[in-house]
Amino acid sequence: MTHDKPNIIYRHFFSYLSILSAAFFTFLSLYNYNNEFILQSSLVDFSFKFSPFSILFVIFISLISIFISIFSVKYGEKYDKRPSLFIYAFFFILSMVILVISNDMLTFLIFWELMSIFSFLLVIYEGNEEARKAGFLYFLMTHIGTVLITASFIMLYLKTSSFSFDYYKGAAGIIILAAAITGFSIKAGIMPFHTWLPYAHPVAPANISAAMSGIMVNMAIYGILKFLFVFSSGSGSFLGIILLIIGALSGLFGIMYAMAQKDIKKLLAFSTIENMGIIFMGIGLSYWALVENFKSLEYLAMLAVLLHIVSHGLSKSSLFMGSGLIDKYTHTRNMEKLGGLSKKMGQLSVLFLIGVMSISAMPPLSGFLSEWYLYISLISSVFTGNLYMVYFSIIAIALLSLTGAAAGATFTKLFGITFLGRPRTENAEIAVEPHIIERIGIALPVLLCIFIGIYPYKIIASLNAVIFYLTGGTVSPYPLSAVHIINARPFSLYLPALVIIAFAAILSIVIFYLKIYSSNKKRIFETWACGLDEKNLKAQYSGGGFSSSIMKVFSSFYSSVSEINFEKDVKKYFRSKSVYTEEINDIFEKYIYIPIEKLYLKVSEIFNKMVNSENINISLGYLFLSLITCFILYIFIIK
Amino acid sequence: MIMEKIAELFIILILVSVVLNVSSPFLKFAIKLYSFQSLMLAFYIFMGAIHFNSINLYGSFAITVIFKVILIPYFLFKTLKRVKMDKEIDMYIGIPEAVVFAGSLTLLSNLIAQKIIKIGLTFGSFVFTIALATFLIGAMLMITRKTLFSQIIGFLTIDNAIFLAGNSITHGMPLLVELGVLFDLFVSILILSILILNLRRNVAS
Amino acid sequence: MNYNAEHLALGCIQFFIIVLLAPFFAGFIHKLKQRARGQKGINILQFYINFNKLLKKEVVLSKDATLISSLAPYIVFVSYLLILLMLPAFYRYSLLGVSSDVILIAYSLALATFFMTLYAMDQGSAFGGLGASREWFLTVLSEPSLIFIFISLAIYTKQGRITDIFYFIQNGAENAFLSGAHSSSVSIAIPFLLFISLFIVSISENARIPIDNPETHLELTMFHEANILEASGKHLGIYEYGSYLKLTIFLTIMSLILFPYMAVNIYQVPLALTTYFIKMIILCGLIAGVEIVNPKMRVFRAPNVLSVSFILSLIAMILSIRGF
Repeated sequence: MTHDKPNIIYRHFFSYLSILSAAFFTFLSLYNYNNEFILQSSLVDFSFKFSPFSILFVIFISLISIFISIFSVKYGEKYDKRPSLFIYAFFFILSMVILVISNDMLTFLIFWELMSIFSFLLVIYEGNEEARKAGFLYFLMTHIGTVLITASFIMLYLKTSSFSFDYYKGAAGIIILAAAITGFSIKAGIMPFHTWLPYAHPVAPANISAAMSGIMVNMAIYGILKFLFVFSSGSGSFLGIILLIIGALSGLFGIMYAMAQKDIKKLLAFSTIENMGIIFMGIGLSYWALVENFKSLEYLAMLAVLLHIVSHGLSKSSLFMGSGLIDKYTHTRNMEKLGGLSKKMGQLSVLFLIGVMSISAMPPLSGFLSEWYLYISLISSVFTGNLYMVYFSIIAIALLSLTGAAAGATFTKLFGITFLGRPRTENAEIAVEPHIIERIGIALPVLLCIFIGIYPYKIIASLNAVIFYLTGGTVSPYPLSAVHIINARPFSLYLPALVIIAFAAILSIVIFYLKIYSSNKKRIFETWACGLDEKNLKAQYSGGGFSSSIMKVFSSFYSSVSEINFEKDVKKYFRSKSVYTEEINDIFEKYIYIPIEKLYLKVSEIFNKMVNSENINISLGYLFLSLITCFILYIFIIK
Repeated sequence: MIMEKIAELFIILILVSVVLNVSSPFLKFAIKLYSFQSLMLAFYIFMGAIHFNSINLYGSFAITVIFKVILIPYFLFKTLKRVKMDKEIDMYIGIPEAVVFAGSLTLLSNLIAQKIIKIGLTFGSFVFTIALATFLIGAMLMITRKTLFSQIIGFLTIDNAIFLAGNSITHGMPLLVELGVLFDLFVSILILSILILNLRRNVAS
Repeated sequence: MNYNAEHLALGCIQFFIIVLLAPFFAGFIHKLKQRARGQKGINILQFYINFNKLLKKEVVLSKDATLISSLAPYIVFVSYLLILLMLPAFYRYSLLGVSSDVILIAYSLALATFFMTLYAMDQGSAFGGLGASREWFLTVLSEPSLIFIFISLAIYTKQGRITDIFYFIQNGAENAFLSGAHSSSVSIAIPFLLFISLFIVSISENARIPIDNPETHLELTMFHEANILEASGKHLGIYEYGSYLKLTIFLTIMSLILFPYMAVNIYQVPLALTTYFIKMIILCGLIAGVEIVNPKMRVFRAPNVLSVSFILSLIAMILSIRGF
């Protein structure tokens, strides 16, 4: 028997190693609060610093990777045949942890690149056509981003002639910021650059998707925050407005596309785009306030950003893990084939429900808290009375409220179609309750979501250290208010603990009252179906049907192709079957990326014809010409 | 003080009626809305007349009621009955999109108004915003709708907007100018009605 | 706000009075409609009787039902009750007034919708899915306007809590119109605009006629009813009661926007309560009037109307920022 599963050791070893190293880094960072140290080697010096900002991210990455590792201990058994997954995953997480504590540009870029490469290896892990395609796209996009980030770092180096981050404070002008933000937003999957994300996140194994969506995209946010609030010279408030509007649009498009998906993991991937958009809104608002010197607004928006990073990371990783379990036990990710899972997977469905509620910002969970802070900071930015910002915040509020409502619809669809109703196909019928370790892996982040939502004072107090590091001020953790823009009194109050106590109290009173004063008889009977004896399980409402009416109203967001195939020679009511296919295409892909790709192919074809001639003299001539061009460039531009 | 607040209510109702006009494809409803809108305009002028105690504005009020609330809608109804249309079907953009577009035009016009008009200059604090928004939305109606009838409604809306702006800033135009403008408008409506009827007759036959 | 015993006691009384009055308002609208159609009409207290009767009946659960089916009715009901705890109607200090944030209220409504639609999809009935889909279709369109209305109110009054918002409007109105003080921050036009907008939203959110027909039992035309088609016994009872509560919430907010008069101490309570009751009766009449005059519209014409409500609240917000 030992011969059959020799690789089980890899799974256990690397999962536990991840947990241990995550715990190690957490303690290391807490112990070395505000210390810095340099690791010297013969080639480059690696320097690290434990600022509060880095420590937040170290703890955040460590926590979520601990949850994911616990989950992987059992979940990973289907990947035992090729244990490279666990090795890559370990190094992936490690590179991210080191990335956030690195304190010079070379270390940062090396670990940024390591993170990209390991995540690329994980994306193509499954090895099928889809994975390879997604992997290629991811590799291409992420390296365009890296080029831009490297360029901005080089510009910073030219300006300060130092590699260390310590010298970059206040050095970055608008061009550097713009290059860096563009580079990082490719990694974050912000709307015009998001194309890789919905392909790459779903094809990876579920625990890796959880790590990518829950943690890796936030590395881009880390970079942006570092550039905007640490390196920035504090100019260009329009950058903040651009980030706000791009973020709002990204949120709306992300959730609208999420609504159209059938694949659970793809839906979650699009929802990541939405949440990154919401985080971008907060960053834009905060940066605008920094430049325009509205202090308390700056702190408040920053709190919204940090809270949303944490709450999105927690709920999204738990949802991705849940989707992995659905995939594992039913062998499909297509929600049209599922249904009725909540009877087979009772506990998982409860955990999934809470995750879904948190991510669609239902009170009192943590997702609502961060969205509440964002709303309050948007409202207070209206109060600043700045002539342009007022209008942009109003537009942002409009888009955010639409996003919030659409998120509710999307996640109702996700949960309702997958877990409720009756099983649509055999895939859903064979499901069983997942293993206890897998459930624990999901339960921990979900419990944290509830805890943060109900009792946020602790976490806001700790986040204040980070806010102080980034912006130089703090937000009062209690009571949850602190908008002092208009005058010296709190603008609004939301007391989650009080609200939840009131909710629980009324709930218990109502249940108690009904227990006493109403009949407690119960009867189990069939679902009413107009008196018909409906045996066809596919006669339930489908996911596509659920979202079609909303999609019809917002049809300008999509470019969809739908088609009905039926037997043409049979009369209308006598056809035995008709096939309906619908394809939702990304309009960015259709109108930007595919034309660019075509143009690129055309141009390269022309070049190919020109360069690859048989005549060796012409080839030599090209070589000579490019040499001369390089010289000229060197003389006129670099000097 | 209170006069001004009530006047603001009437101006708001002008904008509401324009937005409703954008949201509805029905032509009969559009004419009714136009009549209502003119009535609100007349009331606004009336409030101004009481506030400033200006005889000019009283006259303006009377003319507006006679021409815009009664005569022009009457002729439009008559024409509509003859051409037997009830609904605008041909539009370049869908209704919800058009309404959202109208909202963004209001946003834009508030931005412009805030830049060029100081608070307190006009009678009612946001008259100029509303006038500008009404103007732009009227123009949008003319652009996005294909039939001549809706375009007339758009044109009349624009005219109302100009009338509103004129009455808000200058404490009323000279009565003679106003009469001339209104008479021009009235004649143009008559000509357009005849044009529609003739077009209908020629195309139909 | 420092709470004392009087605040708590009157807040409690206010809460119970609104909760108890809710079926009456719904019944009154129903009665008005039936009378206008020339029917004799139900007993005005019929909805209390219905509720009582439903409590006595047994609950029939679908064999496909899960935990959601037995939990969702309570959560929906309690979310509405929670909002009523925050909402002032005729007394300024509501019980949960400290935390009566407008966004919290809007999202609590969304929470109720979320659970109601999950309930609808729980039994695997095609009607439930249809109802859930339509409910979200309307919510996606009306929820932004609702949030916009609330935020416009917050921006207009520079207050974030719903109790403070209406107190501010009330104070402003008293100052401007009773004592004649010059104040540029008070306006009739903006609340009126918000009132129109909220009226449209509440018609769609409460499944009233131009958008939906609450009385129909033809499955294909149902919005709200399709969601609770499988509910029976006490579950149906509290769903129905919840819908009356929702109607009352919207009517109360409308009444306060239109004519804010809230008592600040115990002596003003009787007058404030009477005013509240009269306002609510008038609004019920208004809703009944709209329902009688209009035919039910096609589903895909709903976006036309709801986009108007959205844009009107946007305009209100734009105009209320002129002050600063």
